[in-house]
Amino acid sequence: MINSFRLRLALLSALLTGLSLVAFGLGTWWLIRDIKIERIDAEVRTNAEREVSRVRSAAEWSHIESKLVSSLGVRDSGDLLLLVQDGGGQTLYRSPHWPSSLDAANLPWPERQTARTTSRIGWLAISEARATNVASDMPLLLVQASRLPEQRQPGTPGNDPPDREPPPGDGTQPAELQQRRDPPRRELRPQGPPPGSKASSLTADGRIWRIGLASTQTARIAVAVDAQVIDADMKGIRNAFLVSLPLALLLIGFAGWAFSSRALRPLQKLTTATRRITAEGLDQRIVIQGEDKEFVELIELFNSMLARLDRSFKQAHRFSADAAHELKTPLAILQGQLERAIHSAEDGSSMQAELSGILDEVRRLSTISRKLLLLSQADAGRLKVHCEPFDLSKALAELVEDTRMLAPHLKVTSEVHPDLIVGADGSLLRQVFHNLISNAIKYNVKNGWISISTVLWPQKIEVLVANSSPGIPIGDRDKIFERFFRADPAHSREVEGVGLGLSVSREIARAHGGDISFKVETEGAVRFALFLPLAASA
Amino acid sequence: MKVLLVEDEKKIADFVCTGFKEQGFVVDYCADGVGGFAHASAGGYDVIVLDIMLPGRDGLSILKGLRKAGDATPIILLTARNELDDRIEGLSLGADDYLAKPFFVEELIARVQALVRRVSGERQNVLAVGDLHLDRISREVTWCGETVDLTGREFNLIEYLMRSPGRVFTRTQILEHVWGYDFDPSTNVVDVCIQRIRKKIASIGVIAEGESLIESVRGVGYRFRKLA
Repeated sequence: MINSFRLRLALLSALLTGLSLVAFGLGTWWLIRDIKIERIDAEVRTNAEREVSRVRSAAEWSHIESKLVSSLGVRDSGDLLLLVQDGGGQTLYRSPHWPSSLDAANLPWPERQTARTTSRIGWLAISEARATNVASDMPLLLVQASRLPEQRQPGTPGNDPPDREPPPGDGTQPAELQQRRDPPRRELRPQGPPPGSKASSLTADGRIWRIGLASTQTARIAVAVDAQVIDADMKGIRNAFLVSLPLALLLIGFAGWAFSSRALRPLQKLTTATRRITAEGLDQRIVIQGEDKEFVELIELFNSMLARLDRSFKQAHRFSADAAHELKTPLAILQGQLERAIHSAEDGSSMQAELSGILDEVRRLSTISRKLLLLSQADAGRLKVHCEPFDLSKALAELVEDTRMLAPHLKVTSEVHPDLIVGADGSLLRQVFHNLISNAIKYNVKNGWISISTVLWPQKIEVLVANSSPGIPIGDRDKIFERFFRADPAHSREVEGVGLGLSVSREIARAHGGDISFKVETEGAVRFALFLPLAASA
Repeated sequence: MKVLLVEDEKKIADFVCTGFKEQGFVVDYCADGVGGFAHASAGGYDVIVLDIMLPGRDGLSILKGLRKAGDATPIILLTARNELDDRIEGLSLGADDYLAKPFFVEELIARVQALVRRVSGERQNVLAVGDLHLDRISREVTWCGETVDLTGREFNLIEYLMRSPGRVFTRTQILEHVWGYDFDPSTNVVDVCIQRIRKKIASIGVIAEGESLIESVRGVGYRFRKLA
């Protein structure tokens, strides 16, 4: 899934806009198309009506045809058909390109009007959608409307239910369209004999024609326009829409992206601040400048939360520091006086040996308090190391020497690059090495081995301490860096240590910009890897 | 040699003063920062041992004041506070060495002596007990004129013991001086190291049985044999 809120917002707004644009476009397209068909129908019928009452020669009709081409806005003369017949059905004029399949006799001519009788105008309007059904539906769709020219005024909508489905936007339909549905039997006022006329749709030679037919006693005339004239226009509209839609979507998408970016800016600020707090400590605050009030509240809450955290962290840190300090002074007195007492006692006396035993415990106590203080500093994010050039190769050589002395029963191998200088706090780093080695010795097997090696990477140095191992229970593997955790479940003194070493080591490594990881290499071999960044060695 | 100790904890000051006097130092003692700064400014000391947490004026401020006045007397800082921060700040302000509480007086004295040697141009660089000679500069040990090949740890250990022949050093004291304070006191690394030194000297073959230069004190530690 897309997990960027900004991207989702941009896509969603584009999608919604797109959908509504498409719906609007389709609606408009239908409406325009409908209107255009109405207009064409009206024009062919009007022209047929106008021309039917005159008698002309074939040449004149040809001239009328070319006039019609321009007046009806037809681009190509092939798109207009004209047929004139006299009262007996004799063809007076027919367009040269009149389709042969279209038999003039079969055209749905309106009834001829007799002079001095009530004139009726029958005309047919048929929507393009139904054009294919023209042949079979013709009798049903024929809507007779008795009308007079002066009645062609808006504002007289029909009372009968519409006999076809309303087109979209029915309410805004032009009055003329309404007029068309007037009930067929309406009282007609007597007037001069108007021609019978109607408009209709016919298919011939694969082309759809809108045809206007008019009949009088003496003549009948058919004017037809290729429906493609509309289609060409509609195609233009459709193309314009198809081009503008992706552009609009792109624009909306970008706008959505930009807007959500802007809206999310306070969130960005929070993120940056949180990152800074992680790096620099809890005393950071977010400055409020011109944010919307919804965000101001969040930022204020965040700041007050930080203040509280900061306070309690400082308290906790001060507490550990104070506690360590309060412990250290009595420990210093105890140690100093024990040292004196050991020197005063008779050499080799049991008193001296006992005092020496107590001194060991005092040392153990002070080591723990020192480690706790270091951890509390690390927790407060205040474990700062004083980096100086540190001869890593030399320190590791000493470590190998110590390991051989500490564990003569183990096979110790080393593969350390010469002259490795890193920027580090030597006394802290030595603690880490010693801790790793004492673990490797403590948790080893009889006649086991320890290997100390270095690996150089482009940006870092890796110090590897591997050893044979009796195996660490899988459940314990994740816990080895936890404080006071010991692989020995009873916390027995058989294996020395309090379980702070690895957590302290990891904090020291991290304070140097590195880290320590642990891995069970194979069954019976484990490995600790200490990474130190090379950048710090500059 | 004259040492100024500025330390507010009376009990600590007591055993530090005693330890220094035993080693032949003359010690002046001050319990507060203001008096400490006055004494230090008056001059005449070879080394100043300065606690950081002091009533009146803290150790770092005294250090800063002295260095600002151009006083270059070697200074060792003592602290019970946040070690890392204090050490970094202390050393950057011009302290010569640093010792965290709790500490061994023996260790403090060793550091003071090393500091004085360094400042005074390293006059006394060769320790000699009987036929054993130790050169601190070339880090070479000879027994009856023959070189004993010692590692860094072994050299540091024997040098520490040779400073006070006849004085017993506990394993913990040795451990802390040679290996640093993080080593577990129950480790046997000191014993192993002593065994190796003894073997290396014995391999030269002119030492009588039972006349080892490094004597074990049962249950406590080791001492360098004092020759008459």
